[in-house]
Amino acid sequence: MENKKQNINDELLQAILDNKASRDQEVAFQKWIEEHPDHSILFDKMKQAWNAQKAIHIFSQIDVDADWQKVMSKSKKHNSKKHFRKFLNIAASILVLISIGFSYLYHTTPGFGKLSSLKSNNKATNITLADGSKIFLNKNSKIIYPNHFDSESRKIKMEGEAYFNVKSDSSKPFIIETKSAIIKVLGTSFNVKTNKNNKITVCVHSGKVSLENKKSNEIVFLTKGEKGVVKDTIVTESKNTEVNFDAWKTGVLRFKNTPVPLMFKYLENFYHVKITNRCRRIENLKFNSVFNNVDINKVIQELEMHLRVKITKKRNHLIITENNK
Amino acid sequence: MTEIKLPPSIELITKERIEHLFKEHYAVLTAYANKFMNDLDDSKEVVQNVFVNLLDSKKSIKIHTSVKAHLYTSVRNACLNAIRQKATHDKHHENIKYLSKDSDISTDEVFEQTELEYQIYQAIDELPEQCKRIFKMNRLEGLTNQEIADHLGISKRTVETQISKALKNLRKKISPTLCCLLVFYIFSDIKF
Repeated sequence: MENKKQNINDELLQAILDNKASRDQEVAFQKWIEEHPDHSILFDKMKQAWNAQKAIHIFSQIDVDADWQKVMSKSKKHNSKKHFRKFLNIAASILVLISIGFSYLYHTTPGFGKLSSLKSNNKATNITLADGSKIFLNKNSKIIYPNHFDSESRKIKMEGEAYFNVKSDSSKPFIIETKSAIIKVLGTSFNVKTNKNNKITVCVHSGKVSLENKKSNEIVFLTKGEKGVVKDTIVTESKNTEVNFDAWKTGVLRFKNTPVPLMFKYLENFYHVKITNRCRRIENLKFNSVFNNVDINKVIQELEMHLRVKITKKRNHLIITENNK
Repeated sequence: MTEIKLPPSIELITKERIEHLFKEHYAVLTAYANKFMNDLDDSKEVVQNVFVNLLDSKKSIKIHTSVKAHLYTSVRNACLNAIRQKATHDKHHENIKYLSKDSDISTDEVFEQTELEYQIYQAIDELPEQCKRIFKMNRLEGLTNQEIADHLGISKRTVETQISKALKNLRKKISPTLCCLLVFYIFSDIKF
């Protein structure tokens, strides 16, 4: 080895390399350097080695395998983790959407948990709710109701026409929401009729009903024998003169001094037919009768007899003409 | 480190190839970058990004020299950019000067030094466990043989044997002529 040339004190060399040499040491070092040209070459190498000794610490702080994983995760092309995470993100978003959707369905859509619906197509039907209230649903009507009522109120929604016989429960008002009105009751029976123009007619049979216009928040209170109508922003209250408001439910049509054209209207509504009157003579007559769950043909017979007319039935179309016999 | 000679043409670099290159050169390149950046985390990031670019480059990369030389140049450029971005320190001016110089992997002394350091590190790392531990405590942590013996609950004599064993191993491993002297220097100055 070339350490024969290395006749320098270790302590001195270390002090020089650490930049901690005293003046005396520096002088001694200079002297040594000048002794031989090889000394300065040797010193350079030693300095390099000294630095190496410090620098090799660096390598122990480099984790090649772990950092390769970092490179992979930064790479767009080869990043399986990122792809997987992206997939997870998308999956999570979809899950969130699905759960929001389900919760929405659960809370708002009949048939999904909380709510049920009853729809009558061509036939009137009825249902008893969880609280014992009975609802008679006219043809082409719909109600949405909870399977169980919560503790504060009994809320349902409806379209079309329905007759309510609400079980009395003063702690839980029974609330019916239609497109344009809110009807609140405690315990009573009444009829609600909605039409396509958002006109609501409420006829009260017994008890007390509050009828609120959704648009104007105007409220009227209706009691037995009264009728409330919501149309646009107005709520009107009047005596109920329509004896047949619940005929669709009872099956009983009553006519007492009823003008014939009005009677025809009731019949049209009740039997779902169209009546064309070509007999002017009967227009000013008044009609008295009760049809208790009778067939349309029976009604036709009776009308022909009382009014002395001829009624031709073509499907759902009744044509009334003078009886020339 | 072995140099991979390639024809000066377009090479389609596969992911496996890049991984191999990373495992082989990452440590040296990072240590090299650290000599200019003086921040190990920044240095790691710079070198990692060089490899990320290599992975993500859509077209095959034109490599006119060796892959290693290509990586070397990429790291230099990346360091330069990184330093320029935050450099206000006077200290960095010299580094910028050094890095902006046209330089070749075979003539860059700093790189050569880094490679040497890595060799030493690897040589130490490959020592038998007990030997390595004692050697590191002595050389890197500056503990005396007695301190090591006390710490490990072994005799001072065992420590001495282990250290001389380590030195013998290292001398064998660490390469030829140039290193001879410095290896001798580093590993002979044992404090008893």
